[in-house]
Amino acid sequence: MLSRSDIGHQEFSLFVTEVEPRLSRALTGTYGLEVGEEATRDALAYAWENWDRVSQMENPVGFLFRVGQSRSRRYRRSRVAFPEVRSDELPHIEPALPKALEELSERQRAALLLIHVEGLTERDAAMAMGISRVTVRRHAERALSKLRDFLEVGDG
Amino acid sequence: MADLTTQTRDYLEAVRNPVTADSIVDHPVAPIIDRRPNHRGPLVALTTAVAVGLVGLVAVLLQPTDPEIARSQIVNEVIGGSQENSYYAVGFDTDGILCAETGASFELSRQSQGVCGDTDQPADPAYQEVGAVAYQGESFVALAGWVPTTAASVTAVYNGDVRRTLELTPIPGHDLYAFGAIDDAQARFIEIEIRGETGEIIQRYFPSIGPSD
Repeated sequence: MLSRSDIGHQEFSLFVTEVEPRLSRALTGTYGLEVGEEATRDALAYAWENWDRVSQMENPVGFLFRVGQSRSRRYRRSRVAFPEVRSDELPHIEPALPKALEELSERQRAALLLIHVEGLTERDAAMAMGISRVTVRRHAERALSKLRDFLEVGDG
Repeated sequence: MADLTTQTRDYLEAVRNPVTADSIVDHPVAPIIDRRPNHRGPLVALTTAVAVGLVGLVAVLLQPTDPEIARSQIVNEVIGGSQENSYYAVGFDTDGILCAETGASFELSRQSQGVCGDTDQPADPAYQEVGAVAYQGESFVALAGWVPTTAASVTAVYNGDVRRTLELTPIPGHDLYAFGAIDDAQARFIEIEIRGETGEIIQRYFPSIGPSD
């Protein structure tokens, strides 16, 4: 018979399977590979520590993004660098995409990733970032516009 | 080429380092520490410490004698707040933009933390719907901010389970309440619950968090 902690562990594993890719992409895309991984780890550790509460949340990705953002504050870098794309492995990706992401501000990357890549509503993204809905929308629009300009593509 | 959203998702998926549940559950959570590598040798560290000490001494000697001036970095016209040992304040900056500010003791006032109305439009009087900022001290947390008057009550939640009901002060000429609090607790994660007339949560807000050291 499974104990309560075993059940909690199983539920948490399923939760991580579902949530971790979205959370990790958002934090990695905002803060870079190394800090993004640390922030994801810190956020998921918080989720495990507060599992009774986090497991009931409607928008855990937004909430945990905020946790990762808060906890990574001390070891963030002023400038992030994204690794280059190997065209043989990812032929459908613009080779200049990493450089284009580096050109965006931290908030622009966060807004772009939370809304357009991970599908959060503007309201949830605004809560996750601690800014107003109007501002988060503006950051996301500017991010897409800058990416298009940098990559010289017409459609995002 | 796929659209930019798909490209970005696929790129990040390819380069990120996945974190597994087992790696979280099987390892105790370490306290928050500065994880930046420190390559400085002892001599450099000692020299740096002496230099920082001297700069600190000069800074203390040059501080204004009026604590009201020294403390307020952002808020110029105070609407509400506390000027105790640690402090919080809500009011307007020199451009008339609504701001909230918190800080530590007089000696640490240069580390104060603030948030203002929509910073993308500093001249726009349409403030953010909610704004709040928190300051983490060694053994306390200070919180300041504003909410719409549609809020019936506002609760600060520290570390996920410590709850404090905040006193709301009307801001003259605006449909906003100011709030603030100083709590004798070390809060690593702060959330604000905004409730309506019937007690239902109408919004959760996570204030930006200032220095903790």
